Amino acid sequence: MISYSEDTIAAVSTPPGEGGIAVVRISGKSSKQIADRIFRGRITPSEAGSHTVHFGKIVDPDSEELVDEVLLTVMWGPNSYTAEDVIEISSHGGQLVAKKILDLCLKTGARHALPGEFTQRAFLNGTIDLAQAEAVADMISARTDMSLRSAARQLGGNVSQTVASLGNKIRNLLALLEAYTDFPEEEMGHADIQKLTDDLNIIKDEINRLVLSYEEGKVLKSGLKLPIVGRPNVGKSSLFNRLLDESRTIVTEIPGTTRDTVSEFINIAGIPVELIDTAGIRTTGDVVEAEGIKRARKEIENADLVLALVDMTDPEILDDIRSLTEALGSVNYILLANKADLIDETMLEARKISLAEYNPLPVSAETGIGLEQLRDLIIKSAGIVKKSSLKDETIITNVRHRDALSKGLGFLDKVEQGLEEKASYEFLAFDLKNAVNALEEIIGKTTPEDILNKIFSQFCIGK
Amino acid sequence: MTNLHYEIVVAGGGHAGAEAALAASRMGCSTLLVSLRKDTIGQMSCNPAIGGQAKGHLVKEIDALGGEMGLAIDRTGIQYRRLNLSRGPAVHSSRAQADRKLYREYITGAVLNQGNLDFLEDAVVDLEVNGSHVSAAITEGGRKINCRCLIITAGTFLNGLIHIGRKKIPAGRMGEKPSLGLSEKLIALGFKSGRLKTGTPPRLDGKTIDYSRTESQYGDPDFPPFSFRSNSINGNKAICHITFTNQDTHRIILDNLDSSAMYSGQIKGIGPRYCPSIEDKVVRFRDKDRHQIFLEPEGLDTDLIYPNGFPTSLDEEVQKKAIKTVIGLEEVEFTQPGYAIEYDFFFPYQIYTTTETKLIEGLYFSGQVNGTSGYEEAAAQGLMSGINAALKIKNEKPFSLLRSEAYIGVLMDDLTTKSTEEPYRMFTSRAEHRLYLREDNADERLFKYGYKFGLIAEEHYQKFLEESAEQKKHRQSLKRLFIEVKKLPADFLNNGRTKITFEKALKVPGVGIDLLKEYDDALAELSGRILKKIEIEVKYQGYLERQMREIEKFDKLEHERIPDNFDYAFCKGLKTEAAEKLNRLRPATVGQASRISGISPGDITVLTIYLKKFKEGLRVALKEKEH
Repeated sequence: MISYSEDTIAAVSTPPGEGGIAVVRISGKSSKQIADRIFRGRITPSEAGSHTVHFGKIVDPDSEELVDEVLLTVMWGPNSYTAEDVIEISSHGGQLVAKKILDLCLKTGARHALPGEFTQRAFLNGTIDLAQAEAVADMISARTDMSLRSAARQLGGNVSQTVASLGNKIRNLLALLEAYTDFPEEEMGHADIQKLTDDLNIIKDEINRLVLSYEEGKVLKSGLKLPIVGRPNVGKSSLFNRLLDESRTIVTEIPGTTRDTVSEFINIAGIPVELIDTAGIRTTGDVVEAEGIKRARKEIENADLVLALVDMTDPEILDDIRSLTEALGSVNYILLANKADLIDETMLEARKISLAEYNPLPVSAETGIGLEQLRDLIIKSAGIVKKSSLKDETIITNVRHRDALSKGLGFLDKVEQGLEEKASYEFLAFDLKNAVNALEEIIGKTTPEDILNKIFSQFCIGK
Repeated sequence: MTNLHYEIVVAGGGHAGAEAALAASRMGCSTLLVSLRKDTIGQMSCNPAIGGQAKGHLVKEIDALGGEMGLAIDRTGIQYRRLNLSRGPAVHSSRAQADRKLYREYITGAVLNQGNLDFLEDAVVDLEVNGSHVSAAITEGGRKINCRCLIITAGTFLNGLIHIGRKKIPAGRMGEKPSLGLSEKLIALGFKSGRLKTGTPPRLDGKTIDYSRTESQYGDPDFPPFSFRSNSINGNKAICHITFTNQDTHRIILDNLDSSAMYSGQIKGIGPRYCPSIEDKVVRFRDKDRHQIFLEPEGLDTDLIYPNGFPTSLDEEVQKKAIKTVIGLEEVEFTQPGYAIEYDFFFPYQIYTTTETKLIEGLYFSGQVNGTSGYEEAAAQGLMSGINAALKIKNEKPFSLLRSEAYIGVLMDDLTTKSTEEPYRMFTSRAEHRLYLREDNADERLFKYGYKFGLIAEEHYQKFLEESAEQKKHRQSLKRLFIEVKKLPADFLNNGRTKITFEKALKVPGVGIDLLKEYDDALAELSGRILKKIEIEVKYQGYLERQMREIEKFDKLEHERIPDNFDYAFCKGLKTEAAEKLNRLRPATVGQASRISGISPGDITVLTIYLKKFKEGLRVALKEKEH
């Protein structure tokens, strides 16, 4: 993970594909020399002031052959993203130009950056904290606008800020208890235990909300895995394609991506959903019909939710449902009866009654019947009920943060218990400190000086 | 020039110096204590009291290691109190008013009567260094004292400067000349120094105080001695009084702020926030309509009163005018004005947790020269210096304490890892393992060391072992003894049982060991000290067990040692400033490194990765250096 050398790294920082501009970023000790060698403009890059932009040309230093006209942005360490000397070359769009510029950088002393290496350097050099570094990684892999927004908020220090403010509230309680503990001879009266309890509850509620937001956050970040399973010929691929058609396809980075892949991301109410057509999974050897579900076994195991598909026109639909649900066991699924357009209304009502025990949702991949309802069901079944993603509330998307918060919450429960038992302040402080320490991973460490500073600013101490 | 030869020289006879000299000589080293005046050995420069919150803990620890402070205050106190008794046992602390003169005389006697220990009325003004090892102390009187260890305990004397209003008086203490020259010599040797400030209130003539309108504060009748080696205390023979400032006092102070040495900008040193001057309190907490003043008697055969809570560097006339507005002090006379004193200290990152300086082997710094304040903090360091200097003479392993075993461990660790922004004082909130670091178990925690060094006598140690065995035995017996529920407080929910074990009963709020011992003869025979220990162990079992588990986890990092020759510049992932800081402070363990201000958890992650690589054998860089 950690770079043990002081080498200079470079990479094309804009996403692949055709765009208005492309940016090549260089970071490290040799950034200046590299820029000096390949840039021709009114100034020599290494002599430019930090955070300035210069117009000029990129040339091959060996042949002086022009590559492109560019804008060169210089940011000298430590006031750059990585805290190293950083140069960004904005060229005209197009992979070819950017690739050529990158090649020149590599030729003149840089090495190709590993994925996330700029961020890693930023983290190791202390310009961003761990939460921010993780957010950057999340942002790179964010697949929908919604998750991008969530990641962007975290990058802006949203999680750090929210938790830091909670941490600060706990520290205030701690300072209060410590003041009464450490300065028994001062004229301070008694601590307001009711206020303390109220404050504690406010903090606990907020942490609790954050912990619960994780499930939602996780979905936002990694998306839902949603395989479509069922007997052959029930219409798995038709449903797969219909859902894709009705929704914007997200993954388009790799040129040549076509529908013949077995999985695709779709966007349902801002949630990335990975739809998997298990019919598309080709297995070798003889596959008997009854084992249709076995093919998809692996997909089912990793699924967040399964779309179990049966055929509404199938006379033996009840048997099919039974064997399908039995095979799915405890897996979370939505039962769908496809081809609902192919039977008349009387028949449909009759089917509904006979299948009441299983209550499948009638859908049609052909006409789109029931798909709007299906999308609602998917969102509901995934546990995304609160939709706080739509508001500007902080969402936890990182399991490490969730664990830290849960741990902190556990200690705050102990404080509450201590308050009920009228425990002495130093015992309450013991668990408050533990709670603060649990959050340390997100908010940074709290020293006794931090607490003493609060005491001295709030209380007149002086015997 | 007269040449003298001692193994250990102690410069300074205050609380640090006295403990250092006593410990070193008791451990069998020929020791010389050099101080300006024989009649000020063990002098209390400021308030006539020992102990208090967190400081009482330090006194008990000093005692358990074989120091003198606990014994001294048990013999010379005139009022003894236990603070914070409404709280749990970890924050109970002992405090005593001392008879200033008796205390000083006790310490002077201990020093002058100690074998292996000589006293010289002089001042150390220079030192000789051979290679990187101290070799001699040079005195003002022109003596050269050859030595292998030199312990500097100069208090507030190094370039001491007293401020009273606009008046400046070079002095180490009121009426005593400062120590000039030594600071400069140490700076020339490469030590980094800074300037601190502290203050003291005026001294009052008790005959001119009207106590009738003040509150009285009495000592506690059942006060257990500070020292585990004392059987009794001197007793409660004096009363303190409490009075308050008022709006008139505050107006006079605010109107005359320009006469304060603090506010006129005349003082450059930084003062302690926990012991602010009265002008500071009035300015910073303007909405507070009164501040309390404790009128503390200075002794039994004197009328001197120490007005605790009123330190000031205001002009003497303003001090008088202001204090005369206080109830009971309308007619008061001063015997000495309050003053502020500025002095040199050496940033304590320059010492190890043993108090030995990193720069010069055999040179130790103790007390206020390390930027601390307080008699107890000074004495604790002095004891550490004395023990470690003696161990060095004997070629034995140095001694330091972990944060998880003593407040002294917290003190030394804080000094060596934190930046000093104000005089350092101990608080219980500094100790993350506070629930374990109690006054009542200081002997359990530290007697073994004091005994090992020969500072705790055999008889005391044997008694301690016997008590521990008794404690253990009877702690177990609580599981087998039963008490009828009806004998417990009525509001106790007994779940239909008629009898429960003593152990369960003791966990019931409001039930103490004193109640239980009525029902068991063997328990009743135990000493109060053992009973109290058993009670604490049972009553707080849950918290204490959790604390011990944390200590176990914590100590792992404390034992993760960083090799002396580890080069932080080698850790490319470290922030430059972090690497510089670590290279300068040279923490002994990863635990210590993690506590250095400005070192982030990320830095520690990077550091542990490199340490692992380093220890796994990637020592190429190092080997190249060696060759």
